[in-house]
Amino acid sequence: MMRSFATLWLAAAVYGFSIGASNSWLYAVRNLVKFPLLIVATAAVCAVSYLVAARALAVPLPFVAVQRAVFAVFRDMAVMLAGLSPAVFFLAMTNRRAGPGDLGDYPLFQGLNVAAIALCGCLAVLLQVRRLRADETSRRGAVRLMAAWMLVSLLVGGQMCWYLRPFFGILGPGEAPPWFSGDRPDFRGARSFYEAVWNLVSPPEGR
Amino acid sequence: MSDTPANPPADTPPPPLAPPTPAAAPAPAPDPFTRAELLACLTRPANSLDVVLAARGRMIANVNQKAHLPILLIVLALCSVLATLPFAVVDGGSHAARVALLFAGSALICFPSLHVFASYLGLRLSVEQNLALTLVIPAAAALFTLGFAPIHWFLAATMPADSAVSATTTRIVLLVAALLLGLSHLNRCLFGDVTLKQLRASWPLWIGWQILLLWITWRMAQTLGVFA
Repeated sequence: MMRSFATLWLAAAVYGFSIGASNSWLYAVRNLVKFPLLIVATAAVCAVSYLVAARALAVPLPFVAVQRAVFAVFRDMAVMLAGLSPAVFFLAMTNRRAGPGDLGDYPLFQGLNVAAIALCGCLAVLLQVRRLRADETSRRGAVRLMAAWMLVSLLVGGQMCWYLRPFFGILGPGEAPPWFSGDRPDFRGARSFYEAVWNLVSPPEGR
Repeated sequence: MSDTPANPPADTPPPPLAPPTPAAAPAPAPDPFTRAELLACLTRPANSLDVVLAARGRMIANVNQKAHLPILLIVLALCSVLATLPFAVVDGGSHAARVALLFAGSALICFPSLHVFASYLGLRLSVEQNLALTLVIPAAAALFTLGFAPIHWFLAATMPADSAVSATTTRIVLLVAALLLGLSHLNRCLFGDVTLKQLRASWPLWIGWQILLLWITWRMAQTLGVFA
């Protein structure tokens, strides 16, 4: 478990560094702590939910085995993302920087990273489904359990990501970047992940 | 021309037949929980996750066979109250009983209607059996709120109270999810168990009763100020 934890932290730190470099070295260095913290804190907040979901879906894993299984998913995802880090770092270094009235390559970089995280997350989940099946969990049970875990992780991880931001985002001119933006409003006025999603569905007037 | 005869001689014994394949035997009904297993929930509350959620077939066997029903009722009732506490205290100590009242209170208000209608419709279940089935909903919902408690705490701590999507919104969403999962759990118990055919035949009663329960829970939530 400790080795798995160390691998997760190291891999997530490498990936966090590479995305932070798209903004500045300050962001890159901070992400050595922030990106692993995002994953570990999400797993910690969801730990009890993971166990209850496993019990509700009749997967007979004890608490420690549940946390180990979830950690394996996060670790695999982080390692895959770390594998992409050189490419991400190269893109970060060659991005067209944002200027006044111009976002530069920021939207493209953001979109690519969201896609990379989604891809690596899905692959890690598929690997874990296989492992659970090898442990005599039915295929249907394993798929449903992973879906439940993913849903909970997404809902909590989204807000965690919002609270711990910025990871590579753009701040207004002259603003000192904070460690965590917390509930500071974004450019549409949203102060939480869920509000930001709602604003995407139904944009506020004049934004 | 071959010397091998086309047909074997008449005195050659026929090849042995493959043994007949036995018809697939029905899965044996699960054993009910023993008295010791149920009592263990009182000393080790984590075991109630197994009793209420994981081994639903065994729990239903207890109800069906009336095996150790008083202890099962105590376990379900305690679970319905105690498992909601971590979620409820996130909103403050004065609201500690609110979620238990919301789920268990609503279910108990609807319990007499279930028993009376079930009796009129020919379901031969005792008061204890109906009460146990009723308490499965708040007990399962309470365990789901236990799982949601750290999430509720995290969201309440990180979301501004005066924004469009606040911790109140997420609290309501989580409570609704817990209640629906509790109802779903009871339905899986009833409709997935081979021993409860008589209950399956009365599905209109169950659907009607669950609609009543949802309505009462809604009014209970308004009364308790869950939406405030």
